[in-house]
Amino acid sequence: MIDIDGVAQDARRLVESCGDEESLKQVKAGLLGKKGSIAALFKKLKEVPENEVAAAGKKINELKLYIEQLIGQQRTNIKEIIKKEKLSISALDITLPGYNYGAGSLHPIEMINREMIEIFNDMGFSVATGPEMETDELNFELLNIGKDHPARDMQDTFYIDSVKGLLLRTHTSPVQIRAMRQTEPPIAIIAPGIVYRRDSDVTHSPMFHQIEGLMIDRQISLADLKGVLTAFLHKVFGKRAVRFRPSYFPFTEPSAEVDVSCIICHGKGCRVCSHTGWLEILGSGMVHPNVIRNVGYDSDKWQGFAFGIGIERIAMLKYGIDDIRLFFNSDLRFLSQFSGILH
Amino acid sequence: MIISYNWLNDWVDIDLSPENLAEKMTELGTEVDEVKDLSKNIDNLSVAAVLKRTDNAFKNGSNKMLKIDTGREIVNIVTSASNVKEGDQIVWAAPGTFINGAEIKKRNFDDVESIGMAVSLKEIGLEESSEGLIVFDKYYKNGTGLKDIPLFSDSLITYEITPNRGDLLSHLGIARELAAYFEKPLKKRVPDIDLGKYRPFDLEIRSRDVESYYCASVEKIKIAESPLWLKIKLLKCGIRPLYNIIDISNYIMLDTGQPMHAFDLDKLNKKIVVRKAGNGETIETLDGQQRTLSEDTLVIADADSSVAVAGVMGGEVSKISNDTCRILFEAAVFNPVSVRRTSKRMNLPTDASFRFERGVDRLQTRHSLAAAIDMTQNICGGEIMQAAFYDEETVPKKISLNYEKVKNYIGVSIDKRFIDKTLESLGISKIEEAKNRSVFTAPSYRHDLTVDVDLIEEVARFYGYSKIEPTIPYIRPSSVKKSKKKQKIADLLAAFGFSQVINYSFLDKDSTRSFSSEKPIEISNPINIDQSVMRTSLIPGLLDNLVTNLNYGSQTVKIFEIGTLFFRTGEANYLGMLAGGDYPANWYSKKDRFDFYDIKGVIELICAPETVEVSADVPAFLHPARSASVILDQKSVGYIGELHPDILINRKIDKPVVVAEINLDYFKSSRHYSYKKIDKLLSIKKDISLIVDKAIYTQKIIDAICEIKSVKTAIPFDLYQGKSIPEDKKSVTFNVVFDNRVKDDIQNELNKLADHLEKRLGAKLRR
Repeated sequence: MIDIDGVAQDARRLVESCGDEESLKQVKAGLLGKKGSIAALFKKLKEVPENEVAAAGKKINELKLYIEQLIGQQRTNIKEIIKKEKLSISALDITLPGYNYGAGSLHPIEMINREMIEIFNDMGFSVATGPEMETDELNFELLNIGKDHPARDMQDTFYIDSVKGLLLRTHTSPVQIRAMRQTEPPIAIIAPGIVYRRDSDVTHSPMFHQIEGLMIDRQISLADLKGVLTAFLHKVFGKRAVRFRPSYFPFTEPSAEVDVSCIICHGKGCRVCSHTGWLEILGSGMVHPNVIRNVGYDSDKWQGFAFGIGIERIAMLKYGIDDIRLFFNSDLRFLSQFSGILH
Repeated sequence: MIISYNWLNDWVDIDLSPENLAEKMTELGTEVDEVKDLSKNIDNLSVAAVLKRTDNAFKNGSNKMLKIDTGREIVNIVTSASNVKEGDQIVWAAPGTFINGAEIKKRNFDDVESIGMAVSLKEIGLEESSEGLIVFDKYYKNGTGLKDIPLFSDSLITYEITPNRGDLLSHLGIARELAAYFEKPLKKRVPDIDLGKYRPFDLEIRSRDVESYYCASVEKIKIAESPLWLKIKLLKCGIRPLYNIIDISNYIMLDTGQPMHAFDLDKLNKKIVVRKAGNGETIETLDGQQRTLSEDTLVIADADSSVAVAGVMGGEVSKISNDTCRILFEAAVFNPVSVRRTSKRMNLPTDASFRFERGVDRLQTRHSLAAAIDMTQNICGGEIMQAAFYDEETVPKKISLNYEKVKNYIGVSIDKRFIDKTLESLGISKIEEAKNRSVFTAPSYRHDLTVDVDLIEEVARFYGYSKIEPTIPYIRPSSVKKSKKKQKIADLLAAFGFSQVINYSFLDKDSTRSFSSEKPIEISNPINIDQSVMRTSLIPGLLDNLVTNLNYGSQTVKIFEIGTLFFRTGEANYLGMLAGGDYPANWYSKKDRFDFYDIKGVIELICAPETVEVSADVPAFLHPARSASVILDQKSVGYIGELHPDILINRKIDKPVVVAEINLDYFKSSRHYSYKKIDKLLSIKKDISLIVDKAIYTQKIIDAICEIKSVKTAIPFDLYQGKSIPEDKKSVTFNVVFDNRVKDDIQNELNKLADHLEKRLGAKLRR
């Protein structure tokens, strides 16, 4: 009988075993040539009963087509293999580092600053800036801190010229005064910047960063202050307990100190929160009517809140930094820990 | 301010534990820093009586043996203290007691077994160092635990009192606040005294800075150590006991907030005059300092000279000494501003000045004096002989409160009855009432209540900040666009491997001078001399950072700072960059050090698409041949360059250090873009090499090439000096792009270019 399947299997094995054009040619001759397997099958047709000859012939023709296909496919495969071999000559050590400039880094203070500014920007606050050298009038007096006010002791000041009242600003509040003098209310600004206090130890730096905020409109209340600052703190620290408690600042009344539940111990009490379970994060309050009047606004019409945050403190808490001086030592062993562009 | 929990209970009944009280006070606006439980130090300590004292029984001559009755047994202990005698009752620590973390054990001294230990105030945490053992001056049953004696078993609460609340600087003050909040009465009787019944003392008030002045003389007193209870009460609040009269003064101050002063009456000449000092008048204060007074200093004087600086410190001459037997006790209130100025000018902050600056209750003066005299008679004996007083006339300030404003300010509706009740409990009296508005006056001790918002805060505090429901206000959109210039530059530099640093804005004078010709602004009260002027350059800071980091073992230092510089003409925002140390090790280049172009390339990117122009006019600290000043829009905006070798040698740096300093205020915050139609014709690119004098700047050649109209750009891509080129020449190859319109006679354009360069620069085209 005619063993179509047996021949097909043999042919497939033979064709696929060819690794180059030459051997494929030989295999092709052995299968499809005059003395090849297909030719041999056609010869066998004589032995087939008359009524089956037509069907058997058709099958042999199909087999022939199949083999031709196999050979064509194998030819393509062989070409591919040869091309690959050629390319592998130029192989690279893909484990070598790429060309780059090495990892730089943004300062952690810059990162926290940006994060906070963005949160307030998203809420609708715009950024205002001002000089770091200020006058006593803008830094203190217009903010309801007269010359002989004991609250001056809260902010130990660097003076440039005490006669002319020139100093290094102790907070960015003068920016608020400048902004209010320049624009009519309503107003919603934040003032990020560098400030100076004559104080230096593990938690105090003579120069540090602050973001202050101010919102003045007709009916802005303590409840609004709570809303805005709670939303802000939830973005910075995640949803954790926020506590507002009365405090004192000469430029706000009522005033509020704002705490968040300790990010280290989650309120149980630890060294970082002095075992209170709370971290003091920012100072705030309703802008004192004296300040509103000092910038020329009508304090019967306009009211609002102000707040101030120390950036270093937030950065220390968020990154677990225990010495404020690290921010200003420019130690690359510290700074390089903050590399990465997707901060 | 340290407050004793038990002492507070003398004034008002407190139902809360010290910890809960601290929590509540914090919520009310008086922050608690610390609660210290003294009873933790007195576990296992008890009263014992000394039955027998034996001296000289030991090799160590200062050791004594005490036979004591602990209430349960009779034991021997050895001590080196010498202030005990037979019959005294002392504090005994049984073996097994822990004191400051160390266990008290039985110990042998020359064959005598000492069972436990006799204790001093130091061991229970009340003194830094103690001279002798605690000896009771009041009888307790032997064996009584110290835990059962309230004087010892107490908690100390450290408050942080804000400067507006001078009224809280005493036990009375804190008690008053609690009494108001918890609606409880103050229970302690306030002593009073009818000073009118004594012989008048000659008192003359000659200044309006005196709000009240009360004084009385007590004679035949005996100066001695204070009783134990008084000493311990002062120690708990952080005041060192001295002797009875001084201790009484301090006790009254802690109790009622009234600073007191006692004069030795025998050292006073006849009378008391309160007046301004004469010009050049001097006084020796209690601290032994000779001080010259200025004309606006308020002093207490006798008939001859000043005897105290009012509200600040007493004088040495009239101070109480061991043999004082007649005193004049003073309780007064002076103008806060006057006291503050004096104390600031003399640089002499005292417990008294601290309180006067923050406001003392003028109506409390007489009661404090009465209490002081009471105590004096109880403790030191003596009798009152003379007295005098003065009160300045004042009218309490009226504060009008609109109830609607309370709601408007706090943001929640608060019942009128709650408002009235709260203010009343705080001693704020309503003197007029209308439908929407009432008029109030603040009590004499609340100097901080002057306008309506002050009252609103009181209402909000007592209502509870925590109960105010947060709301989000509508913020009107603003058209102000924030400049992200600095942010973007920082991001770019970080991507190029630079780390951002922040240096202090202050520097020492010398390094400022070597990096800038500008005269720096000086700080009049610097923390130290190294931080005494405002910086006029970022480079000194960056250079310091380089040195520090190389010392820390960094091989490569690539840093930048964006910060403020301070000039006499104003402030400016600058970018400073520095690259030093080794060029980062890599496998693909042989470069091992930084050079000028490492930083120039980055500066060009910051300025792009504007092109940076440079000139060789540079400051002296830069390498004269390897640096440039940067010109943008015809303005010099800074410089780039390698530091001068002299600077490197001084700092022992052996590889080039490249820096740049650029004024960012000249840079636009944003750019306006507008589309130009794209030229679809392909331009023609030709490479040309030319040989020119070595000294000719490449930019000059580029400019010359571009003078040919059909040239669009010319980019140098090969620079060669050496073999086959004369020594004073260099070969530069440019990729020149021509306009498509000259496509057909490009050869002609190339010839034109060659002629032009020859004429212009003496350059020869290599074909």
